[in-house]
Amino acid sequence: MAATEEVLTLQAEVAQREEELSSLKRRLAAALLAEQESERLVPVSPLPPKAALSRDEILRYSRQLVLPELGVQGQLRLATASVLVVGCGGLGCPLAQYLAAAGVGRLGLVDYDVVEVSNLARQVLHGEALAGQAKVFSAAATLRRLNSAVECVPYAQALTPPTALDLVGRYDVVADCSDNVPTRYLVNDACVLTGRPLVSASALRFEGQLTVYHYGGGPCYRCVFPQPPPAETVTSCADGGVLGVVTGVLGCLQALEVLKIAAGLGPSYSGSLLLFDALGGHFRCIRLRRRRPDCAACGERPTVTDLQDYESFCGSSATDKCRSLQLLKPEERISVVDYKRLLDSGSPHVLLDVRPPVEVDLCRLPHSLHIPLKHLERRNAESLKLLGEAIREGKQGTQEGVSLPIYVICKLGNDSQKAVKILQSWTDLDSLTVRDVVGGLMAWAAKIDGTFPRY
Amino acid sequence: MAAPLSVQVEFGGGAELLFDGVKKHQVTLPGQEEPWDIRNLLVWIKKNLLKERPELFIRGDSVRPGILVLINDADWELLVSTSGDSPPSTTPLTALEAGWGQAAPGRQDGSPLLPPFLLEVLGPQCLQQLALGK
Repeated sequence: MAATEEVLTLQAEVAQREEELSSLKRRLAAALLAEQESERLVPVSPLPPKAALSRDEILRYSRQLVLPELGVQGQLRLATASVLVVGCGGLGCPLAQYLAAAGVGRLGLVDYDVVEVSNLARQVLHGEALAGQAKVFSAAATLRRLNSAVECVPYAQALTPPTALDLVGRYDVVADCSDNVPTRYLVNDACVLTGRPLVSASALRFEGQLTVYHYGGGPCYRCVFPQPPPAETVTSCADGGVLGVVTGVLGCLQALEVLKIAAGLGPSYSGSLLLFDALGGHFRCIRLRRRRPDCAACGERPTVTDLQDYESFCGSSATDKCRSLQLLKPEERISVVDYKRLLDSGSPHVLLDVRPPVEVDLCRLPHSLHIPLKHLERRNAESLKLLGEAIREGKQGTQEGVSLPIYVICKLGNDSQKAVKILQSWTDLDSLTVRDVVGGLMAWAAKIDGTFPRY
Repeated sequence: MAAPLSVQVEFGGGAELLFDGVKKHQVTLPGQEEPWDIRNLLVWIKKNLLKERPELFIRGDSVRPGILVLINDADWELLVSTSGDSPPSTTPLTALEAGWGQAAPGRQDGSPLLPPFLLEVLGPQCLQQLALGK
């Protein structure tokens, strides 16, 4: 009896503590949000010059201090240097981590985004507990634990033309760890206009690139890419995939270039581009063009004399979030809710999943037929046969003369619209109605089946 | 009459996706009246190697914005012609040399490009990214 009583008492106490804990968590979230508001563009004063290292600093940085190339003078320069990190994701996390560990004086952290679970495989400063919080606060908290002497200044906002010049001008070196083309042009122009060196890296799939712009008479980003690429030709990490180690390698190399600039050693990649192929195991360095005398930003008669509207210049938005295509009329589409109703009613139809095989391996609706969009685009014979069979089979359940509907699904509802357009163009299918499922499988996971995997 | 020319063509930075995902191609350009230069080499690649969406590879008679072309490890903008006034893109490959300039210590201007030629086409993932969801 006594044991049961103890169990009950403990259970009550645990319940009470849990209630206290969740109340604390709510207060923390509110406090973080308030902090976010108050930390909008905090003014930062220049770092004071530093004459000598303390005993603790000598011990802490001893392994790098005994490198004659760095030495005390290099470490003192690091301690008075400030670095602006644009983007606290796959590149920004390892970069900021190594810069903080090495004793850089001040790190400005810019990111408008919040931590998501799908970030954790590569954005190594963020932990499970901080999902949903602003990335800059999560990063700053981790960096302060790592090195309390480094001043971290979080900016929980996107870098925008009205604020970029002011912000970039307060820092000595800029690291572009962003993930979209408009931000790359914005950061470049701000660096050229304020005379700051820019260390730039990118990573996608198994490949990464690194270079230094606008340093010592070398080219800027606009010298190499005077025109933005067509928006539809660029891929995001969400779409193309990326391996965390690859962003880690590139972020570390980027940190190395920043450190060498900040310590006065000079960078290695001004005017050249490092290409890393993680799958083949190759590092290569190629020579980039020199600074262009006719460059719009850093040329002899620049036309970029102030920051512009970079989203309209690039025809794309300054996030790596997915855009929604609108290729079809509303009557050519069906919502996941209506599709679920139709499925439950047992109405004959074909559900066609057009995602690439690697994504179908992750998750699928069991009754779907899988034909990748690429096969439809090329009228792959094998796939046409499969589709023909599925349609014949489906038609057995329908009355004579009634058309069999085909519903096309993909991850988010863009590729499925392209597939509907292709199927509609096939005249031999004209007895069929083809629609796509709005929002794709991610809408299915959000609205119909909470156990369906998201990715 | 230009003799057949062996060239290694490589695609990266996403450009390989227009070529069935194949990165390395060892090709032999047939002998023809005109000597092989960068411009007609790009046209040959479009006709013979490109698998989809040519508008994402070529615009006018050059590559579209966002693509970098390299020959033997150098940005093609660094190449200079040794045969008079013709621009590098219409200069025979064998009459090109790398104008390295001061940016490359230890490398001198005027080192001619010699076979074997390695032509690389790097897509816009080179330091650029953006999204169009699936």
